[in-house]
Amino acid sequence: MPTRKSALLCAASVAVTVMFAGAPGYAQTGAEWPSFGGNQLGTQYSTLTQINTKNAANLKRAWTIKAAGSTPIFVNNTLYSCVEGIGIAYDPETGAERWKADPTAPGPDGKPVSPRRGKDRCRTIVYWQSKTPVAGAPCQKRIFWGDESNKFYAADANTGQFCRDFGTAKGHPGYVTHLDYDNLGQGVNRSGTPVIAGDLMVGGLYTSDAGINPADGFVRAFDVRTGEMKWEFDPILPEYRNRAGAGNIWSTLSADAARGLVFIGTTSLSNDYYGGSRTFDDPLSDAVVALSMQTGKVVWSRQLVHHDLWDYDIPSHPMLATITKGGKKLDVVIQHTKQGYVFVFDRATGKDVYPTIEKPVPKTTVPGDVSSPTQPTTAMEYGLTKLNRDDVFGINAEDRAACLKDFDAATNGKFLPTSAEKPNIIYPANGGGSNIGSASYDPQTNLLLVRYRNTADFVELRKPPAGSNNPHAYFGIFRRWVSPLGVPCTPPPWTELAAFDMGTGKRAWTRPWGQMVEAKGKPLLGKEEWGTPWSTSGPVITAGGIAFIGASEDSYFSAVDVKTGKTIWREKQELAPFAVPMTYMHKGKQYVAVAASGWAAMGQTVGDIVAYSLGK
Amino acid sequence: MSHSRTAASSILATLISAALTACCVAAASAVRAQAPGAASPPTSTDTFDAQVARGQDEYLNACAACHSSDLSGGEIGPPLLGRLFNAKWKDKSAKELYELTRDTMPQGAPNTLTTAAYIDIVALMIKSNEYKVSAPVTEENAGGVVLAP
Ligand code: HEC
Repeated sequence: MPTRKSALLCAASVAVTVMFAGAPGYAQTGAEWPSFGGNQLGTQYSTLTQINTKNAANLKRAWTIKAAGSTPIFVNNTLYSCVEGIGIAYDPETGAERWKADPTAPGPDGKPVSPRRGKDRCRTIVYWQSKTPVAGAPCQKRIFWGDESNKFYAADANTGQFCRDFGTAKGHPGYVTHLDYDNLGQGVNRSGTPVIAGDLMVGGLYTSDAGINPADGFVRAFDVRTGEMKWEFDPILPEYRNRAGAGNIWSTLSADAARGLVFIGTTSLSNDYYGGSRTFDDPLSDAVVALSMQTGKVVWSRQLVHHDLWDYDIPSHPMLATITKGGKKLDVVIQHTKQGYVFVFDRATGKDVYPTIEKPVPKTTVPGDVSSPTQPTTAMEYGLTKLNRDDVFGINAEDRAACLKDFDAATNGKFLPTSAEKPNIIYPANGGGSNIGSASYDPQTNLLLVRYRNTADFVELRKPPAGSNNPHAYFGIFRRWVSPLGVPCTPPPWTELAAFDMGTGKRAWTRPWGQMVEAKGKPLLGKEEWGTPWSTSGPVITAGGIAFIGASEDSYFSAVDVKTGKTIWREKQELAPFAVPMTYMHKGKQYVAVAASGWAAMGQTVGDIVAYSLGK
Repeated sequence: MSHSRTAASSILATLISAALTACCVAAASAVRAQAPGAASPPTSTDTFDAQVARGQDEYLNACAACHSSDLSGGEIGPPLLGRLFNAKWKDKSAKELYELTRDTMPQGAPNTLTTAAYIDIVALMIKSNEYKVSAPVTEENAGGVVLAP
């Protein structure tokens, strides 16, 4: 029987005192933006002020990179981005390509680093520089990126030549891979998004937690120079590793090098929606986990969903902010979640900074499954919390009738497990609530901005067909809960942007975000106050008082006043910027850039990277 | 996308060996035997609709977690119907769709269903996109089946 206390695992012996000072210049964003979310702390904040609330209306396109990949990072006077397994360097003034590091291209010895690379998009690329550079030697500054062929590549940040000392011991100079190690299951879909912590590159693997017997969600730390694996972390307790897989970190990671901690957010164990095969103690699933950078051991952890039956994986990196509360500056971990709560923990200990309340929730009725009697909640709640029949939406009478038919045929409720008999309307949906990169913290106003959805999923449990290799008694299937025209059945606004005051935990403002422009591939304009039905990612805030954000189907990239939530400027892009933006300063000019390449989940792949600056 | 065929099988080999050396109770023995009763090869008495119905079961079991139960796409997998899908697949052959699906899907465990199961799922995608096809799709005839409305 699982114990379902809000587990605060404490491995007190772990060396929290070990200091790993980051290389100078990249602990703080400023001119540079060396990592997804700004820096390893991931607050999605920049201290730049050249573009501000007074002049943002004058933003003009500075450059465009066509057929490009991820939102770039900016460091070493260079923009770096990645796509389909290739690392690319661009000029920060013009966006012109400097070089490409393609692992399938012949190297100096005529041989490629790898015969194959992934064809997927790339979430981000990361940068490291040696504190003790050897003059004239290559790879004293490195970039790292992952791909769908399960590799993490390393290339010289100045030349784009692969670092042939990296991964050599495993017989493949230029990259490391989780596939060199036992992952205790099938389906390592791709290498996750890495983070740099001191002289380590730490990365998880991405597997389908919906799957039949997925790999365990290993996180591995590799020596940035040699690629030697220094430690690995498996979120599943040793005694249960033969019973379930996943708990994988598919999202971004963060690190506090000064404290010697790497922070990860894990997913549920396999499979989604049905937990009868994992009724054991799994305190490290759906958890924020602080790992020792030195050993990979758990320093503290907080489980944010017990025995997940809703696919509420931790969707984004634990955000390492310094908030002001009760007149004091506090180093905290902020975790926004799919299920619609902001959790705030003390960074060193994992203890509550704002109270976590274990709330009683309905029991599962599915034979063989045992649900948790309570779930962690906080007062900072967002997303749909309740759905009355009268509130079911329809863009016309026919659509509403279809939505009501679904409603009547199904159960619904926040944290209600899906039964074996009836479909279940789950809200927030498995895309949130909030999702990857949905929040940013502004130390000037002490506001946390969160973009989230108020949509739902329509979920059913099925028994695997006869003869199937699926060992689970049930598996869940879901679809977005939409009308025949493809419009959400939940009442609008479907997406909102809200600001929470981190001094009080109260909302400062809330506004609908984005606009519906099509449904099921056909043009269909929604009202502005309805917000966009589908959205992912979120804002980046600058000291100029602006939140830059795309995250809407209408394809606008916008500048919003952080204090009021009002739009100051916006420009439509060819494809929607569903990525987290970045900003940097080069030759006296501030730029803000974002990948405007749509959303893979909408069938879109490569697109533009666009940058804006103030007109002449 | 035939270029990834060999790479895909070598990855598959790795996955299989990973699965075998690991603990995994039920699944290791069945990496290739995903097919439910559905997987029996289409016979001369088979109909397109019967094939689609089998494809539906296969699809829900192996694909819906990412692409959603109505093929409309989820947080991870793109829609397998509608405007963007059509832009890519219209006027291509069922064989091309079958090969891409077999060689890359389910993502992370490609080529783990039987041929018959993949073909049945292709029939489901054909039906869901309202392409004009009425006879059962087979591995042999797929090259001549055009994905046209
Ligand atoms: C673990 C998640 C996952 C599973 C399971 C999965 N897919 Fe996919 N599928 C994806 C992703 C992600 C893409 C986009 C691939 C890319 O961009 O490289 C995709 C792409 C596709 C495409 C290409 C779509 C296009 O627009 O050309 C097809 C067809 C497809 N999947 C079919 C299937 C089928 C059939 C199954 C079940 C046998 C399946 N998928 C299972 C994630 C998944």
